[in-house]
Amino acid sequence: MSTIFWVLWFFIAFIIVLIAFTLRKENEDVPRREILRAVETSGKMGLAERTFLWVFSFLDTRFRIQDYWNMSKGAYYNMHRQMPLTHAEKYKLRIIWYWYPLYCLGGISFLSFIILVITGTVLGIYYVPGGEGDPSPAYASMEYIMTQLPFGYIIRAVHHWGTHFMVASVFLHMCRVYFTGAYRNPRELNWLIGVALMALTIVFGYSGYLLPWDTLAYGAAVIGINLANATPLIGKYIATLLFSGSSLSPRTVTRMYFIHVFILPVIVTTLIIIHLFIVWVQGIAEPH
Amino acid sequence: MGLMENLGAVASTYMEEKEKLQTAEERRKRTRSGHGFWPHEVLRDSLIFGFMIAVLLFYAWLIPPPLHSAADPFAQAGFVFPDWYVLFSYGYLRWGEYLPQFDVPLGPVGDFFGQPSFPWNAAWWGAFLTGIPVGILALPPFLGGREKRPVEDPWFASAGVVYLAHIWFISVFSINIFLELYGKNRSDYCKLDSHGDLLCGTRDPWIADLFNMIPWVLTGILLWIMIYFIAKWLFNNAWGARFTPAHGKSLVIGAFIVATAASVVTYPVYDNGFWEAKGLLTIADYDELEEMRSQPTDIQVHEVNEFMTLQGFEGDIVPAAAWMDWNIYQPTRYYMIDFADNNGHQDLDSGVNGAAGIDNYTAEETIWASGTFSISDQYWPDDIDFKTVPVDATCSTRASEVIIDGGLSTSRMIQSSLVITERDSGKTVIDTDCTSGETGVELGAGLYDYEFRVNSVDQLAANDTVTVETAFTIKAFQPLLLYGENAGNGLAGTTVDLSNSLNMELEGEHMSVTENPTYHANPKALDAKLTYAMFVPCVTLGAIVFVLLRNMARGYEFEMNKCYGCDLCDDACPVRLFNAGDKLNIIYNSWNNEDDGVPLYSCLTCTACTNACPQLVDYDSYVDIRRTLIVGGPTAEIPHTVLQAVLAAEAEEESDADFVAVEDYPIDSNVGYYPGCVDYLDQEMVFSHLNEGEMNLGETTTAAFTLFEEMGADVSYLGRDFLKCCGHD
Repeated sequence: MSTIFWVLWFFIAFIIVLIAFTLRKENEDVPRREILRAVETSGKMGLAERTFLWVFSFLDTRFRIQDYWNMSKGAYYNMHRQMPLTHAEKYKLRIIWYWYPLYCLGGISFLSFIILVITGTVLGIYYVPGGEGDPSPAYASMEYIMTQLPFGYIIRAVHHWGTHFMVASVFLHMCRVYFTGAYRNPRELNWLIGVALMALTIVFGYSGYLLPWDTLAYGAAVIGINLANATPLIGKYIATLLFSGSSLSPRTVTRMYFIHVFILPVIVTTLIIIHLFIVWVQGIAEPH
Repeated sequence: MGLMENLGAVASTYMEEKEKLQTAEERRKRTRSGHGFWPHEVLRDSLIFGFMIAVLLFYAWLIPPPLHSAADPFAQAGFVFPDWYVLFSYGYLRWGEYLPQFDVPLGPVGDFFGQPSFPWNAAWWGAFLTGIPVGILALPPFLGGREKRPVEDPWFASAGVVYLAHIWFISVFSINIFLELYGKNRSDYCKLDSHGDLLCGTRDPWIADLFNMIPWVLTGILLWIMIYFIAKWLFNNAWGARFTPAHGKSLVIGAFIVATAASVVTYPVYDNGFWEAKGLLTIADYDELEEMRSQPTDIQVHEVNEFMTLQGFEGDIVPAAAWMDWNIYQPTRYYMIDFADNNGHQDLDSGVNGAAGIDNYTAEETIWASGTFSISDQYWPDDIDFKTVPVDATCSTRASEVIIDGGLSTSRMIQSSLVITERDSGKTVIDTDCTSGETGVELGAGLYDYEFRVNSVDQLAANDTVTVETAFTIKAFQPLLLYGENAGNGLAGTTVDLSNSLNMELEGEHMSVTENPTYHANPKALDAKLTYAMFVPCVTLGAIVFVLLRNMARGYEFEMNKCYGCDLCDDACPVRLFNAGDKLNIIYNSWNNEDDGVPLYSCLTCTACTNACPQLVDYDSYVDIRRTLIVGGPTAEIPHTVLQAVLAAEAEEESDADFVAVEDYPIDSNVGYYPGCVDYLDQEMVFSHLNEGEMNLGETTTAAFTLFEEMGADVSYLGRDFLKCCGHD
């Protein structure tokens, strides 16, 4: 076993060395020595600095640090140039528009999402999905979190209030975007993604509401499954998909858990990244 | 740390030097603009986020989420209340219970999915309606246009407000239970608690009344806005320029008075829950309400408490009259009817206001009871519309054996009929049998004959051992009589007992029939009001926003804000050419509250600048409004249509030569020569349509002053620092 281990490591080391030599610039336009001399003459250097310089230049000639640095810098400036100047910057306006404070709402919903991911991860360590038995494992684990786990109740409270923050800031963010007409050309696609994100946020909230599997959750589940079942033609399929059957069962809570901690996070995180990327590329809208 | 910094400096110097060496030519200089990421944005965002997390933790500490008892599928459906952000969906679900429900046949598609017919029920209404506001959100991007402030496009801002208001009110609809509880916790509402004691609310009624009024007040405001704008439009068309802003102000007040009066007069329509409009779907069927026969009665409380004293009741009786303020009784009846016969109108044995009988028979015998009863109008209200009272005619038959002859049901072998005929006309008014009976038949006063007939058929007729018991009851319900407020002896507001001759003797004069205060009051009034609130009041909020935004737009701050200082207005301005040498940029400077060299009263409002403006800043209107604000006169939309057009056309070209040099004329006398706009213009062109190119008013001014000098009169030239425009078109 250990033999294979060493062979593997040697193989990896060999690959690294191979890559390093492949990448090494054999025909330097600018000899390394000249650069070193230029740096050394630019200021007083101690032994540590000299050593570092030698290592750095050694690595640079092999791993092309300079090139990648320039590439990323170029990318940064290119992107930066694409971001339009704000109206205030362009015309050196003296006033700050009174809507500006509302431009932080999207960021707040994003931050809420991050807080929810963090607290949700902690809760997920202790939460046990499952509705079978009395009390169900889900409910028992919730009791444990609320009463036994150190800081458990406050983490759940932050998760709970984070939800309200996120939904509220998503709604207000949408209002801001609507009332400044920011959904218009060229930002139509991003508005649609935003609408999808809002709907998914609500579904997030609903699925999380069911997880404690207490009376309130059960009542909400009854209403939800009734709505799903009421859908023409595909009602029972929707109910089966979301609630694991056309009537409530212990499996419902497991299904909701899966939706809440796997499906929705993957979709929502992806959409948020796209959403933010588009904002970054297109810039924020300022109607003036 | 020092070492690390040094190393960083080394790396950075290294790369700089390398780049210098590699690219000998000049490096393209890149400058950063806007706020720096560090420290400006980092600091700002840290503050916002820090504040947010502080609030979050505060709430988490203050109100941790509850954990209720474990889910129990067999328990009675508990109290379910969703988070606030899905209340709108919950509201639609509840509203769906009032909306029409029907089955939709799905045809072959339904067969394929195993659902031949689809019930369009409350649950689907809820899901379906939820989809509408969510789906609408996908539409705005396809409206086109560019980003705009609300003030620039009031229509879409108003539409957004209507949307939000609708979502708000449908969310409120979902918590109608709470609203009902809240609405009843008022000091003028009482009920009996579980011990049989009187329990009254504690809150001042005006709070609940105020909340109750909101939708109708909003309706009044909408009416006000609509009356004002429609009337203004009509007057503008009819009177034209003679319709002054002063008239407009009167119109605002007049419309307010009319709208207020209309709202106050129609308030009962709203407050009674839109009875005539079927309660906006909350009244499925008036017949159901017809069957509401409950009536107020005197109730003896278990124990006299402070509420009894507060309400001013004597002793331990809550009189019937008091209950009418708190509950809805018989909403279809203008006069309350004594269905329980608390007054003692009926004497069935003597045939007064009804009749009754019980008899038994066996085998082939027949019961044939007939007789007469009278409907008295002694206590009827003094109201010619009150002509009838409701009458119930019911009978029952019961055989002593349910089944005879091994499996034959006796109930099918009894034939019965109950027929009532009006004595005077001989008309049959009721013809029924014991399986159905008639209730609530409206009959007038007078004498009536009844015939009650029962006999057996088939095996039952041949069976001597089975006895058949029969009974019939006819009841005519008279109006409810209550003692009035003035009645003494503790009888105020209580139910009259006609058989109590002592009380009748003492207080009979205070006795009267009872007008129903809840006549045509919808028991589901709250839901009807909330249904209403989902639509019209939302439009009001949109209209208010529209009006406010239009007012803001007229403030011109936002228009000025569009200026990017291109100077085109400056080039076009005829006054500037005369009045100031330098480029001044009228619009930009006006916005910055800087003297633009074209004081408000120098402007000709010729619209040259507006026409030149690439941002369409309506500068001349701005000047008009500023002038109005200072002078206080009517809104100055100077009717310069021809002149403006000509001036605008002229501004495109070089305007030069004919300006009069004012330095020659002294301003030191009591007499002034006011040239109006003529000295600023190329008159020959402007008035060419009048003068065929021969007239030169600039020269006219010069000629005028020549005359003044000849006359020896000291005349000041008022062309420079005075209003250039006389308003003449």
